[in-house]
Amino acid sequence: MICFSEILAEGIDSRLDFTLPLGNSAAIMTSRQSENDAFIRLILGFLAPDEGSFCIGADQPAFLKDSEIALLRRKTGAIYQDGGLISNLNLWENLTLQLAFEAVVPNKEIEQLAMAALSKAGYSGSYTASVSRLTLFQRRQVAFARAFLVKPDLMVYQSTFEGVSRAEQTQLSTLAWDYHRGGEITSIFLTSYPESLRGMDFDFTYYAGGMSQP
Amino acid sequence: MISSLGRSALSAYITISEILALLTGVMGNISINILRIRRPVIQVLLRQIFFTGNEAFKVIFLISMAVGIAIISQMSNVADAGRGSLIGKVFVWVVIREVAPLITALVVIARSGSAIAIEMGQMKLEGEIEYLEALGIPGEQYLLMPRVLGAGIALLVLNVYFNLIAISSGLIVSWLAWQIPLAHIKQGLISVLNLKEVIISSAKSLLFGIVIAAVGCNAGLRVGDSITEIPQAGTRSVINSLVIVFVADVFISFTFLF
Repeated sequence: MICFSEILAEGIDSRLDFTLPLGNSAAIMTSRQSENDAFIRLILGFLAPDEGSFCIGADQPAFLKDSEIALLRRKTGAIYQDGGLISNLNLWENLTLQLAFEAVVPNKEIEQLAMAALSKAGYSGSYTASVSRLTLFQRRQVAFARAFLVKPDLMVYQSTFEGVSRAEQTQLSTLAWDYHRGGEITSIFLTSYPESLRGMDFDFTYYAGGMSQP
Repeated sequence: MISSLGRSALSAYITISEILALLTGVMGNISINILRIRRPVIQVLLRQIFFTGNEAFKVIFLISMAVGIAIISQMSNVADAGRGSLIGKVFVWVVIREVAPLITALVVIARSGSAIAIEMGQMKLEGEIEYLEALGIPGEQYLLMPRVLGAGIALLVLNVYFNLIAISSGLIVSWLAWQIPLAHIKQGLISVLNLKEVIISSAKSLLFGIVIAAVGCNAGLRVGDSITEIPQAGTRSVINSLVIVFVADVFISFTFLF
């Protein structure tokens, strides 16, 4: 289970307190974008709570050793608002970087898996496009494909459905929702724009940052 | 005045401590991972060797040729045709020991040191180092280690090229312009060129390459939240590298003099 207990950290001032059972989905509605940034950093172990605690299972990510936190992050799929791609690598290198680094899957297989993941994410552009040439929507598609490749236990979405057209928003939310339903995955959706999560039926919804419940 | 000096000394101390910490981390990483370097890390390493070494080659070619010819022109005033062996010795003392490692380092500082600082600074500013670590890929292993190692290897190779080109061009010009017998120069070269000279020259280049990349990485990683800090990181990298390389050169030269 994932537990937030009375969390106070740099950028998080809501004292969020809840426990999310594994395999469930939760939406965390924040009051501002910077709070989404802080939450995703907290979940991935980049930010330590000033007060309270955050844990994934028995682990508190911010206090794990380097090798342990690397392992935990490999089991977590993060869809950042801008896709979280590395700008000096092209699309294909971004997509396959994590699997190639882990070196557990043969190269030929990585190629096949990566193409299947891109197709599943609905990406239809050039595989060797540079990141700067991709639209925001395409960057997020690649981020989805990259996450699919590592079969994560936990997916974190940072304002993933904002800043794109209505049709693209629907496509991305369908992708996230289908992926959540298709496996034993815990999904956390962070947004400061609740409208972007409309139509998604979460197991839990939490309001942080003093945002009033509608 | 005193407080200003104190601030400068403290700033220099912090910078050197950071660079040493970075280098220690990188060296630790190399020792742990040398037998199982991951494929993406090898790609970054090869790319770094290519950008630092191959792309600087044209500049090194021209400079080394000019240095070889300039030294032979000056030496022709001192040594007449009958004393070609002195020219050979001067080549070893001046070019192989000092000029080659220093000039190749200067070219790499100007080209690659600042480029590394700007690239790392850009990645830091855009949050890409964190994106990388979010994938479970340690930045030290994927970003720093191949850059530091790659720059060291590239500079080592550039140093070899520099020596070969400078000496060859000097020999050719001395023979064409002053008819100094090549055998005399060769004799002088061989009489003082030994394994120790080659090792010192190579060690200097390797060390300079490693230091230049480490300084560049450090300058880039110190970038904060403002885009204006990126060009500052490039400048800081150049200045810090120049100071460290020259000081290290004097230190090494003195150490091996006795």
